[in-house]
Amino acid sequence: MPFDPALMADLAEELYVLHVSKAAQDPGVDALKLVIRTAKELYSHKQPDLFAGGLMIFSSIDDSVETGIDEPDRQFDSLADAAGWHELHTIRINEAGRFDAWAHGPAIADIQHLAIVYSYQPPDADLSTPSESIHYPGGSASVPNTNGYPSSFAAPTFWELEDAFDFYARRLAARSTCKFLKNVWAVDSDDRRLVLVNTPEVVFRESLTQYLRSTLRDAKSVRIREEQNASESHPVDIQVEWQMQTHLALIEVKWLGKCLNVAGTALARYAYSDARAREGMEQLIGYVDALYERLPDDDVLGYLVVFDARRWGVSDWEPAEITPINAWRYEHSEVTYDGLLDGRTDIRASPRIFLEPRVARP
Amino acid sequence: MHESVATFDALQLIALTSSAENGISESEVQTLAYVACILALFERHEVSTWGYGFSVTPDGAPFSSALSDATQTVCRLGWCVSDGRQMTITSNGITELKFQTALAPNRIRSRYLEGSAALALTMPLPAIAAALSDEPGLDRALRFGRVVRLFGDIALEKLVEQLTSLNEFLRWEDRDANDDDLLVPAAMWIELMSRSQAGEGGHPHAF
Amino acid sequence: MDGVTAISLPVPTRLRLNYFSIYDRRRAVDVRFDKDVFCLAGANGLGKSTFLAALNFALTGTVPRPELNFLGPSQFYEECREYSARYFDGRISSKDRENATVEIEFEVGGTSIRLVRGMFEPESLRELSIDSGDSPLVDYSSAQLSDEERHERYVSEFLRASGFGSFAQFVFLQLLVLTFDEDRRLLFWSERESEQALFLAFGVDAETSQRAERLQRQWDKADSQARNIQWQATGVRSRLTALREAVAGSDPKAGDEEVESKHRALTVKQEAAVSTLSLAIAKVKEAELRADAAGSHAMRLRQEYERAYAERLATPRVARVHPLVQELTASGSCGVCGNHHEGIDEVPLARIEAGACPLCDSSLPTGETSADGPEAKKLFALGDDLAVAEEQKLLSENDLNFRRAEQAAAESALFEIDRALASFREANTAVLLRQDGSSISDNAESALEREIAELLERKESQLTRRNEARKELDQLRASLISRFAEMEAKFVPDFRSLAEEFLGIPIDVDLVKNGAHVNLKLTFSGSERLTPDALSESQKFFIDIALRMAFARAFGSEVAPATLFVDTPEGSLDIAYESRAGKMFGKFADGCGRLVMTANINTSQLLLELATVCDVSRMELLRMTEWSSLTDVQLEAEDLFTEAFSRIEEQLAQA
Repeated sequence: MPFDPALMADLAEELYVLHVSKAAQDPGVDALKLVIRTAKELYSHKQPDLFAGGLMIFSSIDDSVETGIDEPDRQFDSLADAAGWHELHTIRINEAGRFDAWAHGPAIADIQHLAIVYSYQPPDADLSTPSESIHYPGGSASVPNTNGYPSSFAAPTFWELEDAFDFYARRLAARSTCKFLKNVWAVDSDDRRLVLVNTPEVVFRESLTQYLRSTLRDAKSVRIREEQNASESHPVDIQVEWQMQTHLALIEVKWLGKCLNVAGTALARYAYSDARAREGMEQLIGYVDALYERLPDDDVLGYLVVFDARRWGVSDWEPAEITPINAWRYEHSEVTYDGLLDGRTDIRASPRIFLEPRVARP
Repeated sequence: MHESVATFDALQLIALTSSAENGISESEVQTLAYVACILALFERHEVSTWGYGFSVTPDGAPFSSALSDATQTVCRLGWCVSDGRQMTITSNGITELKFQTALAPNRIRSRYLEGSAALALTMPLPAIAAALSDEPGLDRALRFGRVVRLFGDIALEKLVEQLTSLNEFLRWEDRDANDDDLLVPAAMWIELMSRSQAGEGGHPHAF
Repeated sequence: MDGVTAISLPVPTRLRLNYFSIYDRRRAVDVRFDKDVFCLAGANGLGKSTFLAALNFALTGTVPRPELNFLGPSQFYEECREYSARYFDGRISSKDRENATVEIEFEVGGTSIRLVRGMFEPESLRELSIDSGDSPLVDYSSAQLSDEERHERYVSEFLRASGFGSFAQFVFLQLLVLTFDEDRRLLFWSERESEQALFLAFGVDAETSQRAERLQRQWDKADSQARNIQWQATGVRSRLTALREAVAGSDPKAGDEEVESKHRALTVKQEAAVSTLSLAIAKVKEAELRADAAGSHAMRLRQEYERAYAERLATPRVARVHPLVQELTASGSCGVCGNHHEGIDEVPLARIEAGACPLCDSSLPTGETSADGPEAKKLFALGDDLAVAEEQKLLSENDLNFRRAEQAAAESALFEIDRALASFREANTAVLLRQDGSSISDNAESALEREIAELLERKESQLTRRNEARKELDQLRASLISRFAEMEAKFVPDFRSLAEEFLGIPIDVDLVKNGAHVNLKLTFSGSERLTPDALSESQKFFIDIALRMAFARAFGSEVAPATLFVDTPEGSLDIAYESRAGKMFGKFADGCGRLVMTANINTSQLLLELATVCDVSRMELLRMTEWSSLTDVQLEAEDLFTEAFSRIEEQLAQA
C-alpha cells in the first residue's frame, strides 16, 4: 500500500532533516550530520544538563565562504578536551576537522545563512523539557524531544530490561515526564495529579511499550499483545523478545489509585489498592507457567510493573484540599507479595513506580 | 551470495557507528544493513543485486547468515574489537576500510550504508529496529512467528509501493534532483513506517 | 470479534424430513439444532450422508455432483441442477415420491425463514414463510404463488438477508466450503475452489467475488477461443499455400494503373514489414546472445573477485591486532596461565616486533594487509573489471528488452498491413481480377487471404479481451491480498491453532501468488523434512477441515455462529489422530462456530474426545437406530455400536 500523501505532508513539515536538505542540499545535510555527530559525542563526555548556559554547535555549509566571525577563544583536537573547558558555549567543526570553541559565540542569526547550527537551551525553572533546534539558511526547526530526555541526542539505551525499568521509573514516570503519561491525569484546577483518567491502563501500557521500543538494545520485538485466539483471554500486556536469544519477557502492567468514570464527570466506582498488585502477580505467574508449558526451550521471565497513583483521602475527583502528607503518603509503601515469589527465579523484581503528585513534598 | 560485499558492509557499518554510537551489536549491523538494502531498493535497484538476502528466523530478524559470518570475520581479523556486546573499529580496520571503499563493487554501496548509519544519528538504534519490525514483510513474519525469506513476492510488492510513493512525494517536494544523500528518504521512510502502523501521529521514537 | 465480512450465513435451527423412505421406521424425522454440536450417530449404510445432503438440499435445492470439475460458482450451480433433481431417487421409494419433503427453519442475517421443499423439486418450494423482524411474518404459502415463484421469492429474500451477491455463490460456499461431505473434495489442494472461497471470505464484497469469477471465465473463454481461431487461421493459410502453388505461373494482364500501383505499394509495404520483422527477430537473437555472454562474463569475474577477496581475508594477520594479544595488553592478564602483572605483554610484543608469532615464535609474513602489494593491486583491478562487466550485463539486458519490444512492434505493424491489404483486395476485386487475368483461383486467393485476416483480427480481439480480463482480475487479486492482510490477524491464528491441535506440530498458512492465481500455502515450521505432500490422505482431510473451520469463523460471530457440516469424518483416521481430531472439533465449537456432523461411532475416539471437551449442554448426540430398519449384519454391529454409544453418553454426562 502506498503511503498516505497527507501523512507524508505532515511529516515533511516536522522533519528537520528535510528542511535542511531543501534549504542547503547535500552540503547542508553533510554539515548537519557533522553537527549531530559532534553533539552526540560531546554529550558522551559531558551531560547536556551541565551546559547551564546553553550550547551551540555549527558547521559551515561551504568552507570556501568566509564567515567573518571572531577568532575562536580556544581550539581543541578532541571533544573530550573541549568538554573539559568550563566556559564552553559554542563549537565549530572547522575544515581541518578541529574544534573551534567560544565562551560567547556569534548570534545564530549571523551565521545560519552560511551554516547548519544546533542550539540547546537547558530546561528553565519550570522544569519543562529542554529546547533544541536546528537552524539552516532561511529557517529553523525544533528537534522533537517530547519524551523529556536531557537531550534527544543523548537518548539513553539499555542492554538490560532492569536498567531500562530503573531509568523509566526514576527519570520519566515518577514525574510523568513522557508525553503519554502527561495525559494520564484528570486535570483538576491546580493540575495536582491526584486522579487518573478513565482506563489509564491503556496509557501506561502504551508509554512503557514505546519507551522499551526506543531504548532496549537488541530487542527483536516489543509488542503489546493482542488477543489472538478466542480461547486465549486476557493475555499478558507486553511481550519482549530478543535477537539471537531464546529468552523472552512478559510484562504485566497494573495501576493503583483512583480514576474517573467513563463520562469523566466523577470518580469511577472502583479504586485499586495493593491487593490489585498481588492479583496481577498471580496472573503473571499463571501466564509465565502457561507459556513455559508451550515453549519449554525458552527462558521466560515475568515482570510486574505497578504504577502507583494512590493518594490518601481523595473522595472526590477534584478535592478542595489535600495535605502534602496525604498526597505523598504512599511514596514509600512497597507492595508485598507474601509467599507468591518464593522459590521463583523467573519472576523478577517488580518495580513499583510511585507517580508523584504536583503538591509540595511534606 | 557474495562474501566480499557482506564483509565490506559489516566493516563500514561498524566504522560509521564507532564514534557517535560507541559501537553497535551484531544484530544492529543486521538492522542497519537491512535499512541500507531498502535504500538501494528506493533507488530502484533490484533486491537480487544486493549480494545477500535476509530472513526472519526464530533467533533474529532481519537476519542474513552471510552478514553474520562477515561480522565474525571482521572481528577475527582485528578490524574491530568487541566487548562482547558492541563492536568498534580499530585503526587497522580504518586502514582496511579506506582500501576496500575504493574497490569498485563496494564503491556503489557505500552511499546506502552511509544513509543507513546517518539514520542512527537522528534516532536511537533500538527505535530503528522497532520501526523496522513494522516493515510489511518483517511485521507479518514476526506477528505469526514465521521463518521466511524477506522480500517475498507479496511483501516486496507492498514495500515497493511504499517506496515509490515516497519517491514521488520527495520529487514533488522539490528536493534537488542532484541530491545524493539518503538520510532524508531513510528518515521519512522509517517515521512513516511507525506512524502508519501506530495509527494516529506521535513520534514513535519519542515515546 | 465480529464476522469479518458483510456476508451472513444461515444458522439452521430445525429440520424435518417427511416420508423419507430410507428412514423407514419413522413417518417423519424431526431434529433441532440448538447446541454447539449436533452429532448424528449410526452404523454405515443407515443414511447418514443422506441426512446432510437433505439438509443442504433444503437450504440450496442443490446436491453437489461428485467429481465435477470446478470452474466457478455459477458453472458449479448450473451443472449440479440436473443431478440434484435425481439424487433422492432410490433413497426415497416411488410410493413416497409425492409426499417426501424436507422442511427447514433457519436464521440468516436477522431474518427467520421456514420452508418446505419436495425432494425432487430443486427449484420450487411448497411452503415459505419469512420473518424479517421489523415487519410481521409473511407467509408465502398461499396458492397465489406457484411453487417456482415461491422458490424465486425465497432466493431474493435470502440474498437480501445474507448479503450474498448471487445464490450460486451461497451454494458454492455452503456445499463446497462449509460442508465436508462423503465426496471428500480437498479445498486446499484445489486452486480455483480455494481462490473463490478466499474471494468470498476476504473479497471486498460479494459483488467483487462474483466479478472475479466472471472475469476468470471471460479469460478462460477468450483464451481458448483465441487458440481455436489461430488453429483455424493456420488451416486456411495452408489451403491458401496449396492454392498459390496451383496457380503459380499465370500471367497478369494490364489494367487499371492506379489500383495496381496502390496494390503494388501495399504489397511492397507488406514485404518490407515482413523483412523488418525478420530483422527484428534476428536482432533479438543477437541481443540474447550478447546478454548471455555479458552475464557469464560478469559471473566469471565475480567468482575471480570473490576468490581474490577471500585470499585477502585468509592472509595471516599482523599479530598485534589479534584479539588474544589485544586482550593481554588491555587486561594485563595472561589468557593461558592467568598470571597478572605489569608489563606482561612485553615479551610477546617484542616477538611481534621481531616478526614472529608471540605464542609459538614461528616467523610471520611481514606487515599488515597492504593496500598496494601485488595482491591488493590484483583485487583492485578485478573489482574494476567486475564493475564494468556488471554494467555491461545490465546494458545488454536493457538492450534485449528493447529488442523484444521492437519485435512486438514489428509483429503488430505486419498485422496491420496484412489487414489493410486484404481489405484493399476485397474492395478492388473486380479491378484486380481484370489485371490479373481474372483467374478464379485469384478470386479464391483473395477470399482466403481475407479469411485469414479476419480470423487473425478476431484472434487479436479475443486476446485483447483476455488481457483486459486479466488486468482487472489482477486488480481484484491485489485487493484480495490487501484485504487478507487486514484479516489474517484472526484467520491465520485460528487456522494454526485448529490444525496444530490436530497434527501436533506447528503448521502455518500464508497467502501466495501462484502464477495468476492467489492461493493459500501450507508450511510446517516445526519439521523441515515434512512437506504438506507428505501428509497422509486422511491427515489432509482434517487439515482441510481446519481450513474450512477457519473460513467459517471468518464469517461467523458470537451472535451468528457459522455452521460447519461434516460427514463421517473419522473414516480412515489412525486411532492416534482420532482424539486429536476430537480436540480440534471441540476447539472449533468453543469459538464462534457450530458443528452439524454425522459419525460412525463403533471405534470412535474422536467422539469420545469431543464429548469430553463439550458437555451435555453443548452437544447433542442422536442415534439413528430408531430411524431405519437394520439388516442382520447391521444388527450384529449394532450391539457393538450400542456399547460405544453408551460410553460416549457417559462421557457427555460426566464432562
